[in-house]
Amino acid sequence: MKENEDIELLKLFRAENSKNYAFDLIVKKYQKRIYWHIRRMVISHEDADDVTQNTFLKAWKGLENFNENAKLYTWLYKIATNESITFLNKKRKFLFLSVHDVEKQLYSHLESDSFFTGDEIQLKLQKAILSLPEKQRLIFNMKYYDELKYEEISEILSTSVGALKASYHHAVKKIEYFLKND
Amino acid sequence: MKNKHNISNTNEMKPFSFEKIGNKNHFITPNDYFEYLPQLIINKKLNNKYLIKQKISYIYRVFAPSFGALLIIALVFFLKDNSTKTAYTNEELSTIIIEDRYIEFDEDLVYEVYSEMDYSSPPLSNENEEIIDYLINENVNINLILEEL
Repeated sequence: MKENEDIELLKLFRAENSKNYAFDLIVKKYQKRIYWHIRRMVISHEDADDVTQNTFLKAWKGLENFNENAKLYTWLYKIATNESITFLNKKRKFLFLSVHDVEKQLYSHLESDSFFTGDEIQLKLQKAILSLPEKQRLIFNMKYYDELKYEEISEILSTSVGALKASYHHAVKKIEYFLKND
Repeated sequence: MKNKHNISNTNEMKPFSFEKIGNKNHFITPNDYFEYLPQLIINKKLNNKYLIKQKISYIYRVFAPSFGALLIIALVFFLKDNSTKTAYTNEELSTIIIEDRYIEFDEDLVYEVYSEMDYSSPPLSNENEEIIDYLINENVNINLILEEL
């Protein structure tokens, strides 16, 4: 049903007179999932807003040639993931920071972020997640928060299911250790 | 349940602390953010199109006149350059020489022309009989020429 809906949306998008209308529907359908996925990676709302807009603008360009056999939302997730990583890398280069320093900066932003309502434990969990390597953080967020299936994550990150399971397992262990010892 | 890599199933693996914490989203957005986000994106897309159009029109406005001016200058130089190298016909050359107009010869060119000439077989014969035969063939009245002389 969901995929049929997407096929219909794509047909609408390809018709010149309904392009804007179809795109509006696509954004409305996927904006929350995409935004939250990005937000957990870049932490600040302003940055997430920018990256989300860029993600959908890139999607607009690619939708013309989008293969209908692929799933629209995994494709959007893929763009969002790439955009988030590109954004963090740019931030690193722009501020002359190391990977570790960027995570520190993201955490200090989170502590004073008015758009984060979590308590102390939630804040600790976020700090633990931010201490993970980038790819592990992505996998953990997609599995734990977005509740995606390993097969879907595998499609998005082009990584085998086995490797994803191992990565998630390590991430969980690291977070547990972090929470016990921090 | 464990697999061959000794990695347990995700649902079983969730530790106690995770279950306690849960996966509820604690990030929030400004009010009505998702209401206006689609319009923001479409506006940005349309603005991008407008900006691209503006860039193209700017290129036309700035570069087209410059290109035109360059083309005119190049044409002027080309024509001027060609006018000095005009090849004259023999008749024109004769007129110029007779009227004693200033004419500049490229010395290298003259040298080149002379160096390529074949002097082994002269183009005209000095034999009187041959000349007379030629004039008779051309129906030229030899007597008139002799009278002139």
